[in-house]
Amino acid sequence: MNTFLQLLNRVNSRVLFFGLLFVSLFLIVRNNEAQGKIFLNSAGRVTGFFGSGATAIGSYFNLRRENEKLQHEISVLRGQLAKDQYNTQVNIDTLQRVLDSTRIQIYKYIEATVVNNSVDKPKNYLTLNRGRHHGVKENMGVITADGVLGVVRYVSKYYCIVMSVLHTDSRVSAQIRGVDKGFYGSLVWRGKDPRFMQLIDIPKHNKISSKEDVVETTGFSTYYPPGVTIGKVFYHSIPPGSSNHLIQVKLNTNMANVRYAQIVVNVHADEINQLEARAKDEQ
Amino acid sequence: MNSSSTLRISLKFIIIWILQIIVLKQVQFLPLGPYYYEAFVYPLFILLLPFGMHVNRLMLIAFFSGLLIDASYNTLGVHTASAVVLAFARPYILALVLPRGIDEAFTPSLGRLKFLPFLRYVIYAFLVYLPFYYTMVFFSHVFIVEIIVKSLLSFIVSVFFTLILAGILNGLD
Repeated sequence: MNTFLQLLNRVNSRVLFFGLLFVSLFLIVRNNEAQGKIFLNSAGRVTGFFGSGATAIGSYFNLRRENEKLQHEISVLRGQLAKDQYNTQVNIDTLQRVLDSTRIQIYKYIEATVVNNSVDKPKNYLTLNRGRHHGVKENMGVITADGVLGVVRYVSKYYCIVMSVLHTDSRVSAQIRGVDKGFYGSLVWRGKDPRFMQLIDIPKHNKISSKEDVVETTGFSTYYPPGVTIGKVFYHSIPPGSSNHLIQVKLNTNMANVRYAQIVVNVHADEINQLEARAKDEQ
Repeated sequence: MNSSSTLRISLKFIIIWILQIIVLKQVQFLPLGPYYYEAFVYPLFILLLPFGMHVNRLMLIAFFSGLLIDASYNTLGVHTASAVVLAFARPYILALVLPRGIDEAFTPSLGRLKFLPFLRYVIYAFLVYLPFYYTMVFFSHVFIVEIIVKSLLSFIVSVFFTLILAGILNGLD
């Protein structure tokens, strides 16, 4: 007790005074309704005055939402600007690049933005903001940064309609990526889950080893370049009585909110098609 | 501070507490217009602590005795803060009213200080205590008029009852 009193005498009186006063004020605002309300009110005003404190910290955590709101507002306002209303200029450099004299460009890409989309019907179509004016033609493939989107079906001057891979008639030639996995099949959609497609027609003597196997395009069509990643093997089985695998493929692209796409221009498409037509005539 | 003085201090506190809580808390003084006011004799307890007591100990005693008063008034913290302020101000008040050459081992009392210095002592103390107390009660400058009027009204009755109580407690020294 005596040592406590001696220690107490050593403490700076002013510090102790303000300490005790602070504790008392804390008790007042915590335990007395009227004073507490006044305190809360004034505290808000004080932080408002300094323009920092809790309000500022709180708004920092809201920045993300605020940003999104602002982004939305910007895009709304931007739509009203004359210069942003439908740019009819083709982006030339993606269409005319030639690497060197021994190589001829086969695939060129036209960048496009998805302006309409659906995933909930059995036959889904997308609308892109590129058309005949930009060199888009029927039967061009459309890919995204991480998957395939579909094939151009209808073209107008400034827009094109793409038959989505999420279309019951859609077939994409696809294979499992890997040196010893060169077997290929058709990627189809049964019209249910827009996250999954089915890889069929792979004979069951081929071994699907890993769940993480990557499914990619084969390049056996004029639609898509070879080696475009589509998705991953999610689950595979051999249906009873079937001689083929049924492989569920999880698509990399979120088809429901895809925004940007590249239209694949196969420069040799006409040549290949004419050649194949001649071969077909002979049969 | 030996045990007999501790006992005397405790006894004083009990008497003051009884008068404050059992009697004065129940009394309603004739209000002046809309202004009701109260009488406080409890600050006398802080005033009667020994001269030589260190201000830190003074503030700590004031803090806990204030908590006890608050517990009875159901205004936790209000009396506590006011008592701490009064305890902190007490050395300065004493320096103003104390006659020269007084023995610091004594405790201040009505008999020892004589009436007029003691009256000044009490007046200064309540001039510190009551405005701060009512500031804590109203807690906003919006009520500045209420704070001033109530402090003045309470000042008169408080000083009156405090002097009577000091006279009673005079016998304890």
